[in-house]
Amino acid sequence: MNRLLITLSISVGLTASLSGCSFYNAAGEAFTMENVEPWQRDILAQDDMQLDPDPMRTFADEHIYFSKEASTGGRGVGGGGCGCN
Amino acid sequence: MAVVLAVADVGVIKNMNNIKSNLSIATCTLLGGAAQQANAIENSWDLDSSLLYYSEDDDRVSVTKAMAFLTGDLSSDDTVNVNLVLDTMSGATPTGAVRSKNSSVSFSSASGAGSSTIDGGSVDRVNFSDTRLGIALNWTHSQDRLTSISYGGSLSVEKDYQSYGASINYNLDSEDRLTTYTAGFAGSFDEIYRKTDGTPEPLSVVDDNNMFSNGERYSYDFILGVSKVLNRKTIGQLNYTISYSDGYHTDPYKVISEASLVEDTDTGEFAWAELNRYYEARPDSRLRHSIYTSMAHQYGDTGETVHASYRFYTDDWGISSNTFDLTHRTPLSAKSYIEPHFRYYQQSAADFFVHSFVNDDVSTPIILPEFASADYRLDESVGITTGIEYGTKLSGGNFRARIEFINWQYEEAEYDETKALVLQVSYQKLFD
Repeated sequence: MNRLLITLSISVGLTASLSGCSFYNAAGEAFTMENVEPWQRDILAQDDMQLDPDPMRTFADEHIYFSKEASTGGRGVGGGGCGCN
Repeated sequence: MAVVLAVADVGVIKNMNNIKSNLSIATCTLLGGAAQQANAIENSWDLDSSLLYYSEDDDRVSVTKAMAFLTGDLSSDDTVNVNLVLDTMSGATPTGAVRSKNSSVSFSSASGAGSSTIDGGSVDRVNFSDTRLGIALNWTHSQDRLTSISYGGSLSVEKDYQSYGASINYNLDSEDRLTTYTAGFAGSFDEIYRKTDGTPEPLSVVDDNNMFSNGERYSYDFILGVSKVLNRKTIGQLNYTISYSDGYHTDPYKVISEASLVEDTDTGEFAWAELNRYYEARPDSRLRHSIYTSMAHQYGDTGETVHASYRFYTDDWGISSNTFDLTHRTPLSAKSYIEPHFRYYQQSAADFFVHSFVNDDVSTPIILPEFASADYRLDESVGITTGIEYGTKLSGGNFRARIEFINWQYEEAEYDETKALVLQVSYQKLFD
């Protein structure tokens, strides 16, 4: 049941965003799909707006969770394995 | 490259209906883009270094991880990454055996690296120490304005494990550069063995000490992904990954107890009595699928940034999982920020996971299944991470420090909880 609710939430969110529905974020700003011209990409160019803003932290986290959980991957492919305890 | 971008921007501007009203913006953008690109070439190298400390409660695993990631531009079309990792690991880890007060097993160390006892009973966890060296190289070459190819290689060496990998990723931008498509492939070869060499015969009795040769495993990963700019303050990503691995998947140190519950006549409480002990056995192949989606979004006048991701994972061992990850970065000033982190992870158990082989009739030998493991990591579980990071710009670099707490709860495993503390400090040096 828990998993079903989670999957439903994600599905609704993705579907709504891809279909251009409006949301409101914590600042009350409308969230809509829109075309972004090259000169409007100043915010997107910021370090903290990268999809992986800190690859070193991501690498460390993935090693920890790889060692303690049965699931792995998703972000990309490549990298070394380990015989972690 | 700066010239190419400038020409592209001019092309877009020419197509605008209202040139006059946008001319000043475009001029600023062109200057800014050229300056940014020039700056990128001048600042073509950076060295990110970090020290991480991971420690589990109850004198279990502790790891000190030192990392150095060097990134640089060899030319306007070529970027290289060199990543070095050195892990120093020690502590105690559960073997999979029950915590028994009445064991008839004369136990020989599962790891060849020492052992420990709990409450004077059988050995249900072993002490270990190891060092891991990891090296990864990556070279990205831009074929043209819209396409790039990345080539990667990796090596990881421990006393009882070696891994060699290679990867290739192809990236294609849409003409408006708002969408990027990615296709990638990675292959790896792992060699697994105990420190004393060899691997135990699966589901053999531990005390028989039947050893086979080293284990080998080949893994293949394919990924298809798309990232898209959704609006001026939001970018999203969606990946599908399929992985297949063939060969030795068993953990050569993990064991399973044959045990029965016995009532203590004095206290009336039930406790495990271990009758025998077997090495675990896992299937010799594994097929995994994962769907991963993430989003970065900025809002508010001060530029608060949210990163959210979700991953659904499933494999043919019967394991499926859901992972949510959320960070929220709040600027404290123009140079510093604070960023809370929350992660939720939930997985189902592998089909062949067992707590133990329960045998209440000692006179009757148990029938062993084809595969079995009592490794707590294959049990049904929930993991919750909470943490916070502080970051600030320093002269010529960026400093970050974080603290996190992780708690995993397992449904049936003998050790049904793991608590861990993570401390990390990092400094990224930018070279002018």
